Amino acid sequence: MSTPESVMKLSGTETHEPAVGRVAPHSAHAGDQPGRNYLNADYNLWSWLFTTDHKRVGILYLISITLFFFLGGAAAVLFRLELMTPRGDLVKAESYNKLFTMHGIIMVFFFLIPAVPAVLGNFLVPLMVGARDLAFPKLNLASWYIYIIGGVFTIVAVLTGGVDTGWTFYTPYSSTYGNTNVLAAAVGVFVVGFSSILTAVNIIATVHTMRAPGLSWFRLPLFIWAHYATSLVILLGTPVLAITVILVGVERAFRVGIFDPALGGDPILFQHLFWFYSHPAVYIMVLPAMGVVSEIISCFARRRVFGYKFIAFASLAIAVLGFLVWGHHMFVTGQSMYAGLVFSFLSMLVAIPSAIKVFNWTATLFKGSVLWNTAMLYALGFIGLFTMGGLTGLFLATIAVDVHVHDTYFIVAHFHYIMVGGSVMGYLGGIHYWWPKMTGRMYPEGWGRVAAILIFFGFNLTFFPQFVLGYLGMPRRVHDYVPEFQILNVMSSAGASILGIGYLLPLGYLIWSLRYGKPAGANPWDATGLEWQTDSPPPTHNFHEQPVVLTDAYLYEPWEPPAQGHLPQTPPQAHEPAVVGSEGQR
Amino acid sequence: MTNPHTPAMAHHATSAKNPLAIQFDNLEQQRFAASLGMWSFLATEILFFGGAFLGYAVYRNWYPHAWAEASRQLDLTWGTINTAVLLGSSLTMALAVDEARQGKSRGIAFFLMLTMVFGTAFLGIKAYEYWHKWHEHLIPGTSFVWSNPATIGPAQLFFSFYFVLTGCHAVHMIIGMALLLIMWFKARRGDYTAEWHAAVENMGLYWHFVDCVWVFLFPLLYLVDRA
Amino acid sequence: MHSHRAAYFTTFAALMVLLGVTVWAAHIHLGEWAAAVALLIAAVKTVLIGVIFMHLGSESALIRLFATAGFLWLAIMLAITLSDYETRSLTPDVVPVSSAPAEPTPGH
Repeated sequence: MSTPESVMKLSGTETHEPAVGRVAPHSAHAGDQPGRNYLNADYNLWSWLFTTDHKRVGILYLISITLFFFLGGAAAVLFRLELMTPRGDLVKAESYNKLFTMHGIIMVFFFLIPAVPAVLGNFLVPLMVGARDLAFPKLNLASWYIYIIGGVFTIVAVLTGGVDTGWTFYTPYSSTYGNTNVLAAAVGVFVVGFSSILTAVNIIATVHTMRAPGLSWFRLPLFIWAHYATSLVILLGTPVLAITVILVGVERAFRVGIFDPALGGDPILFQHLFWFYSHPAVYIMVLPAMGVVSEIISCFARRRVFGYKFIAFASLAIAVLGFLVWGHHMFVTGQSMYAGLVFSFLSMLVAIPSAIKVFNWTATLFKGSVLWNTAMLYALGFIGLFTMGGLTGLFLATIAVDVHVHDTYFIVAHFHYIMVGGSVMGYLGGIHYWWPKMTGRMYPEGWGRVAAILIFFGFNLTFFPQFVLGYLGMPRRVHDYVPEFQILNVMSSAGASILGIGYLLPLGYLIWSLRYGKPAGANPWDATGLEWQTDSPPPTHNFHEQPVVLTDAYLYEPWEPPAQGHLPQTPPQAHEPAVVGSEGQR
Repeated sequence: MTNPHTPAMAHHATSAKNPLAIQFDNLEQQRFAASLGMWSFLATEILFFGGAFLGYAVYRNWYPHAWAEASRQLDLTWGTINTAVLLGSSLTMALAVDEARQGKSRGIAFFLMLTMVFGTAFLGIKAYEYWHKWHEHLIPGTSFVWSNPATIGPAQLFFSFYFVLTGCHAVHMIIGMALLLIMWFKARRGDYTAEWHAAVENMGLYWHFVDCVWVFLFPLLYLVDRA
Repeated sequence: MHSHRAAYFTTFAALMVLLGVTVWAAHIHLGEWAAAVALLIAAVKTVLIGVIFMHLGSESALIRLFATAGFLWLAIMLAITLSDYETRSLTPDVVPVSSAPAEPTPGH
């Protein structure tokens, strides 16, 4: 595939084949005007609300998930304040339950799951594969409206009294005993699931059918591999959550008892169904962030990513293995001991592809010319924090340890290391890395670094004490605690306030940069991906001419100073022989 | 397809009949993408119904006799007729796609109409069966009436699954019928040609899938044990 | 493209025959095999519909892969979950499933 001859053949045959029948092909640069891009193509509100441009839909998602992020964060601020003291003096137990439920539902379903795929994925997948748009632009816009409708249901559930089941909706509490707005919240979760399914269908069809001439699978950026794997998980997992929520909703609305032990039903069946989706959902959150990290590390270490194929296949392996481990959430529920043993073993297996990725990123850094800029700081933060989250996950996959720390703050700390330390760091890194491409402006680098460092330290101060608290036995989801735990809780709340400032800073300087930031130019990082070969911001249909790909991804070696020219993945000039057929060098 | 004010659309507008969307190079690529998109959506549908099948499997395994007893309360005659009706609608749908492949607009419209007639018959029979269950107090919940006190709980579980599974199936049918109706108008208007009729193909895939779901629902619900 | 009308009518006839077979099979005493037979017939019907009505027979390998992936994942979900239920009663300190309420003659 990667010999120069086959490349030339490919590019020769695939560009603008004569179309089937009498239909004329569209030319990529039809009606292009200089200075026009997707942002200034039109200014009125309708042109945004009815846009089918994947980049604009990405921006719509960016705005909405940012709102949800700060909404979920506000709930966290309140309960971290409450936990400053051992007694419940700020909120009552009921309000506390509603606060952590709101935090969980909003952060998981309305921020973490859509964060990278629906914002960065939407924006970048067509650019990275050299296409003019996603395969189904109208579905893409529909997905954003569905997301908003789901969000409205959830916000209504919160405003009209809140929900107190936790984001997991465990039966029989959610179906029979809880008397809060479970139904409205469940409808919100059901609806928002469709938005991620539509995004996934779009990404899969686009990656399969719309790659630029010469862009074979093993030349794709690892970001695309990660999103492809994520889309498979979304497709095969989300519908199970949908039917589970329907079953709970039917049981609750009509009092029929599907999981009700009084009729011979089994509440643990609910947990099987729920975790069949919700465990893979962890990979929906973290796989795309891993894709972002691969891009950033390679670019700012100025090195070819180490073990490209291993990282690519590790994404698929995580997607598949992620479906086989859900029972490790249920070790103490009355699940069969033998099933527990198998789930424990399978959970250990997921560590292998995850570790392969971490080792490959580290090997990419080794002897690289590491640039310590903002995106890189987030990516490095991701590697460290994700590793800690992953290793504590191995503790939890061990049945004996899990029995001890189940439902304690140890669990809370563990999954925040994955979801905040992993996904959010990856997301923020990606936002910074591609901000010049999305907006055409540079953000202030100094502020960016300050925020990244604040977030890293704030995060560790918030969640590391929670490992200790959990190991000492402090249960999660309880609004008061014994006085011995106060010092660690105060540390955690202090960390949370630093974290809060760290999150507000980018909100401020990124908005500031829209007006006052330096113009970015097409390729400010001197990066190789196709998305850097077009204007910043890109024109409405992405490229002025159909790009043709002649080389592998990430050809940052040999390292040359930026002034002497970069090494794009689509070289119009000749610099081929050393790099094109360099499979053997890896 | 695209933002009406972008320059590219100006190009697009000059060929109003051009079915090729701006993001594709040719119709074969566009058709394959549409087909792949539909099949990936159908994969999600398999797991959607699959979640309920899982619950069904667990409880049938636990309570085989109660479920056999409850299953016998369903009307086998109407169930069998309904299965035949739905398979018939699949035949007419396949014939509609066949007409579309030859670009015969009137044939498409005719077979789509027949498919809707069969679909309506299916939903009518289903509604009659529901009404009958209501009449016999077999709706799970507080008004559920069951002669055998030993199996009243599992029997309710059976009927919960009966209504959830057939209900979800019926909702899929209703959505399909709405889409068929829109498609019927478009077919009469002559929107589908031999070159470009991916929507009819995808409609067919959806309708056959819904049919396949019923192919499993019928023996699982009506035929637990009739021996 | 020429018409496949004859193939569709033949398939429909086969589906009708299989419908008759499945109703008939439910009335003879097959014991534990009844469910397996019913599911097998349903699977054959689904394959017929998939291959002929849904044109899987002439589609690309990729699309066939997506068509089977859903079933494969469903099989994973069923197999792993049911393995929990089937082995629960083997665990000494967990209440055996067979003592769950209201079933006079438990399945295992």
